[in-house]
Amino acid sequence: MRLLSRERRALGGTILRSTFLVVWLLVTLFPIYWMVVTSFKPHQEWFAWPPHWIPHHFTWNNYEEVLAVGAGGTGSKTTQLSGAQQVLTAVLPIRDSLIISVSSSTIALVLAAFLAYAISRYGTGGRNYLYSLLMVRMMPPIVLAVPLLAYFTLPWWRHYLHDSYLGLIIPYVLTTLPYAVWMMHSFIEEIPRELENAARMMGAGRVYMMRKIVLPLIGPGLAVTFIFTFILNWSEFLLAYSLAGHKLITVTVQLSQYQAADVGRLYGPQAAFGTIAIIPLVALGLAIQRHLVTGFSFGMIRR
Amino acid sequence: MAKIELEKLSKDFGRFRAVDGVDLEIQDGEFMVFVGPSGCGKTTTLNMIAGFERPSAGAVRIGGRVVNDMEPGERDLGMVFQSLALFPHMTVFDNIAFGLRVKKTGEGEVRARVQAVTATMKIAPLLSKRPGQLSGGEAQRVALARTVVNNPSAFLMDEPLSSLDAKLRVEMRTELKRLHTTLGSTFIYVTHDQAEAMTMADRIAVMKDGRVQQVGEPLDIYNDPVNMFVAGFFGVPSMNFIHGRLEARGGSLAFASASLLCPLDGKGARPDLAGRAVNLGVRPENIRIVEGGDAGSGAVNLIEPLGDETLVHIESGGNVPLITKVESTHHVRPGEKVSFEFKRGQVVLFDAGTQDRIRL
Repeated sequence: MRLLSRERRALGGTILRSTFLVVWLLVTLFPIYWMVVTSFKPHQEWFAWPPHWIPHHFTWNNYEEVLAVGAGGTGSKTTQLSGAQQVLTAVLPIRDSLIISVSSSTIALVLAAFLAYAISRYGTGGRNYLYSLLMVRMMPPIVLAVPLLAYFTLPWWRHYLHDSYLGLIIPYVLTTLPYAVWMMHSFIEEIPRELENAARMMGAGRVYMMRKIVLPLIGPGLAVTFIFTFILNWSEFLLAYSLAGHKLITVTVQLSQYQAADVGRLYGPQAAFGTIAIIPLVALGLAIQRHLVTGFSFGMIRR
Repeated sequence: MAKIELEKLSKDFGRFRAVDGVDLEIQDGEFMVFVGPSGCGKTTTLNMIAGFERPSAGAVRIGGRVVNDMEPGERDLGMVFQSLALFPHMTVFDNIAFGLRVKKTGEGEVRARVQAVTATMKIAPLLSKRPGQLSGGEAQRVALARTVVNNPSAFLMDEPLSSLDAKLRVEMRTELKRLHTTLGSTFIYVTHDQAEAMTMADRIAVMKDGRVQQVGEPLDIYNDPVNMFVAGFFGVPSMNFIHGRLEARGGSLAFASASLLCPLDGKGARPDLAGRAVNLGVRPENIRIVEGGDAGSGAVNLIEPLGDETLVHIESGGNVPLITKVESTHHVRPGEKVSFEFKRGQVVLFDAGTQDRIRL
């Protein structure tokens, strides 16, 4: 009898947990579903009430609009009015966001791997260095945005730093580096020091050991850290909006421009663009899925 | 081939002195075992020989050269680690070939030498596997092969058998000993297991609190310990200690405790020792249960049959029961009253204060 009641309680727990997870999944997936559905709706259906759960008149128009290259040349990504409809070209923001996110994530990753190795193996910076690093992240980005804007627009380097790739890559590397160092540090700590000692004993120098032992073993960690910093950079808005936004428009800034006084509320194109914008993240996630699993479960591997 | 000398070797970690003035000479081709409880400084000493720790004071000499400032890889040593430290992302072949490739050996020679060593170690079928696919014993052999293939002048081993189950550990013990005989190299082996030390060593260095307590051949250490720590560390079950006092009895000395009286035979009478508080040590196999035994008597309170022998715990009035080892054919029952004697010349005395050996 007692056993039965215990089993029943365990079953109850499972049901409760599963229900909670299903509800939570619905809550998180709903906006993505709604965005994708809206991207295939003609403008009459954007505001329809009761809402159309699936488009009644399926259309690719929104995608054509956001992906069309403006007749006035490719330099301007803003607006061209054609009647009541507005054509926004989104190819360039995606390209620019890719360039900025990939370069800053790569730079941050390389720096973080070396920094984290130094902290882990040589105690660089002392015992609390990691925590001090994380403190950097507690500063709100807006505090960084205004002074950086002031510096970047100084006449000597304004040309290189204002509204430019470099002008965003630098602050992106700086803001993601603490996270990247933290993540890489935990992966490097997982590598038993005895492995490195064994290699040293056999005469391997630091560089050889890094190449043959450390780098292959932190591969999954590098992949996970890269995708993490990439997501942070890809979805960054505040710095992209304040330090660039005229010549250089990132995906997030572009997304904000579908709703403005001069263009109205372009839900369809916005949804289409949003759908396109998450493709790199999903693709990256799928590409390194195997590493993601290894990466996130790294600490659980039996040694 | 190399003689390894440690001269007043010390290592401090902050204010903690892990190794304290160790002087030791390890002869060329010798199998030396460092043994002691955890935290005794044996691994730190090994790490200083290997080059992973820099001595705070003193010197390490290998083949006559001071190597304090040399990188581990320059010392011509091989090491087998407690975790074995096989590279998990490489095949067995690549693991074994690692050291040769570091030294830029030609790939043809690498292949030949790896194959030669794996043939001797009987691990040839494993070459394409990864460490994760190996059993404990196989991984052990691969780790050994990885060290042997580099032909170092001395082998350092840090509890390499501790992860194996008991049966395999005994097998590997034999195998290591055989390997030592074949190679004729110097072996330094660290363990906390006194049985490993006893069975494998040419000589044992017993360590405690960063200091070497005694260095000697296994049986010398077992039979002739210099202090209570060494006496108690070797032997299973460990030596019985009985607290008491020395008394003068008709020209010679006797040991007396609350319930025991044991005449002691010494070469010369030492009347100066009479009245001294001492601990008498006697190994379980040196206590005989006999009719009318002169050392004392007591009730049997526990019996542990081991198969070939039986351990009998006798409640004889001390703080802890005396443990004796008797033939399994010797039948006693719990609760039975027995008397016992100590084998002549097989008891040792330790000062109750310093715990150092008192020799008569």
